[in-house]
Amino acid sequence: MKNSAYTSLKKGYLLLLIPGLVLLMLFYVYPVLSAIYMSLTNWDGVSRTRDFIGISNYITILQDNRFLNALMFTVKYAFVSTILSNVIALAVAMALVKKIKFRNTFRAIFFVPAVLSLLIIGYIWKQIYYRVIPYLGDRLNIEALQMNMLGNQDTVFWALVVVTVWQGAAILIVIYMAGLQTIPEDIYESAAIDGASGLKKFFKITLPLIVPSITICLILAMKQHLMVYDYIVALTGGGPGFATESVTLLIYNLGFLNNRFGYGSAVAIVLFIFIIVVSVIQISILRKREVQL
Amino acid sequence: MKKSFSLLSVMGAALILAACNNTESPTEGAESDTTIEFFQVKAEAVNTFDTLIEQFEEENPGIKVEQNTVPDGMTVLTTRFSTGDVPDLFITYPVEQDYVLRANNDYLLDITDEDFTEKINPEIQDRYLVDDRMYGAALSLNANGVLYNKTIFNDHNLEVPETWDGLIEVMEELDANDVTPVIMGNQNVDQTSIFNLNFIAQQFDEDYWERFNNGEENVVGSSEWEEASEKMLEALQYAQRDHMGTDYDQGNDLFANGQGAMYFMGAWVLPTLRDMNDNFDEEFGYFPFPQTNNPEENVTISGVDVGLSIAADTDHPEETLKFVEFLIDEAQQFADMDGSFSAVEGVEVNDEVLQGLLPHVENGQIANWPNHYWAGGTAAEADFRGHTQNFFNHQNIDQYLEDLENMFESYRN
Repeated sequence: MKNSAYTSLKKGYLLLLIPGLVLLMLFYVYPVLSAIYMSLTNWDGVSRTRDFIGISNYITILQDNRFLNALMFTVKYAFVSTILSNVIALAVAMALVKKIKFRNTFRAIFFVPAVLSLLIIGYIWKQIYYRVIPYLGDRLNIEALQMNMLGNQDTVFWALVVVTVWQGAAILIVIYMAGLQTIPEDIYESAAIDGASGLKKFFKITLPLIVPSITICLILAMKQHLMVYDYIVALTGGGPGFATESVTLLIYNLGFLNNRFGYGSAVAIVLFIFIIVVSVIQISILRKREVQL
Repeated sequence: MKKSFSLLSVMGAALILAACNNTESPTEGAESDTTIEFFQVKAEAVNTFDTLIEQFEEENPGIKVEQNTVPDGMTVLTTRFSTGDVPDLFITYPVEQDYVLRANNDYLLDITDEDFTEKINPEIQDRYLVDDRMYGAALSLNANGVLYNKTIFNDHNLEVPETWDGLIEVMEELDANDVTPVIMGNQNVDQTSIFNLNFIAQQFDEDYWERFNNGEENVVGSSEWEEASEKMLEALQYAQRDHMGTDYDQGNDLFANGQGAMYFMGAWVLPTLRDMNDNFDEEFGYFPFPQTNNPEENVTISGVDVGLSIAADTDHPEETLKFVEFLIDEAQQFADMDGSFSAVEGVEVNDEVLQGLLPHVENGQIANWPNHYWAGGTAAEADFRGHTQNFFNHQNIDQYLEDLENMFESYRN
């Protein structure tokens, strides 16, 4: 009797899942499946017919220097940006949970980049690189700063990383602050009585206890940076040359510019799998290090 | 609290009702009206078309033309083709692979037998032939040359150069006098090809590209390609110091405000520069790009700028054709407002700055954009620009030619 009431209740709950499930199917599963199908064809985006060509698009990817170049750039960019933005966000968060003057003002200021539109950020930084930094370079007589960093293949990578870290760290700071505030003050107090130094407190108490936050932040940042598109479009368009062409930009270019929808879909699927693999590896490494309070 | 809530809900309901009413009224009031969507990619021409559309609608009650201009229009148009949502009327460039592909897939309305095609300069209009049928009508032509600052030229007693050596001499002289000889906006990939296609267009004709696409000609080891690349590097030295960090808008700004003496640029920029400098017509002039030392051999690149195609499956073919015919009839008005050469016969060039390129156009010393002949169409063009930007950075001719060779090879079937 009791049991059947439970199952009927459970069925009722399952009904509630249907709208969500339908949306998921419509906007997520269906596009992915149709992209997989498209990646097995040679569709050019215009023709009314398309031929099924099996996995030959995937074989082409392996020999495509432009894809390799985009992948190398994306991985390097994602790795550097993720590490830098997390280190900086953690440092800022630790400063902002302390009882300093104007704490709330600082918190607000650091959060601003997270709420700005990426396009606006692109335009702001474009002006900074075009006018402000070269002006400072002229004034201070530093030759390296006198040119627009976005126009030079050697400096454009770091110019993009700076913008990414500046914007990306904002949301990470909030997550780290939340994590830091869950650590009870008395642990630090007893550590202080035992004579632990500031550095020791950080490595032995703070770091192990905020691993859950680190897990979230690293995965969030890594996924976002592997899929980088907006900064690149706003700031460099993939140039100069092909120096900053990310995989997502390549997919867009292949599909909409080069009339190679099939091949572009194949690259998209490869990126999709690549991100899943990276995320799973990240989770499995980081989960092991989490400490429950 | 309760009161204000009920008030809000009444207001909400009223709003929804009003919204419903709003969406209904146009269909109700204008049952006989036909609306044509005109998708056009030239941001500089929006006002010009608005004026012409207004006149057209006045003459043809019952037909409405809706102009649709979006950033990065050509890409958006490609997307709309891929989803089957083709606008009634849109801009297409002839010869190009994209055009041929669309024509061959029956996306474009056959206009070969329309009377208005006979008003268009046949040399230009014939570029639209695909298997002896035409799927587009040319309205205007762009042209690519050298804009120059007359004031700076006068101050340094310089004459407009007619040869390549003359151009280099002028740039040398300006450079020695601490004037930036030429402004370039090479941070935008497309700016690189406005400059360097001048050399490519002069070196190679239509027949070359046919052999080239068949793999009978190579980039590596070709003295013509090498010479073109050398000239690119030579001219590049005279650009402002941070030309790789300057984009199109910034380049326009620098040139319009007298920060440099010359600008290798297409005529489509004229309305933009006029907006930036009120005295533009007095202070600036145009001359043909001198690619060689023989003035007779130099060519001005000129391709279809506004060419119109109609969707094959449009619901309103007659109304759309009527609008195209109207635009062809009003070509003089269009040319005057747009500041471009016309593809329609009998239209005069009244634009003062544009007169500078007129001798070449009248002598027939013009060449189509070479990239329109390339296998790979817009894609090959985009890749070419990327490699060129790369070349401007590393300045290694052998590497550049090898990159181009591989690039073109990937588009040959």
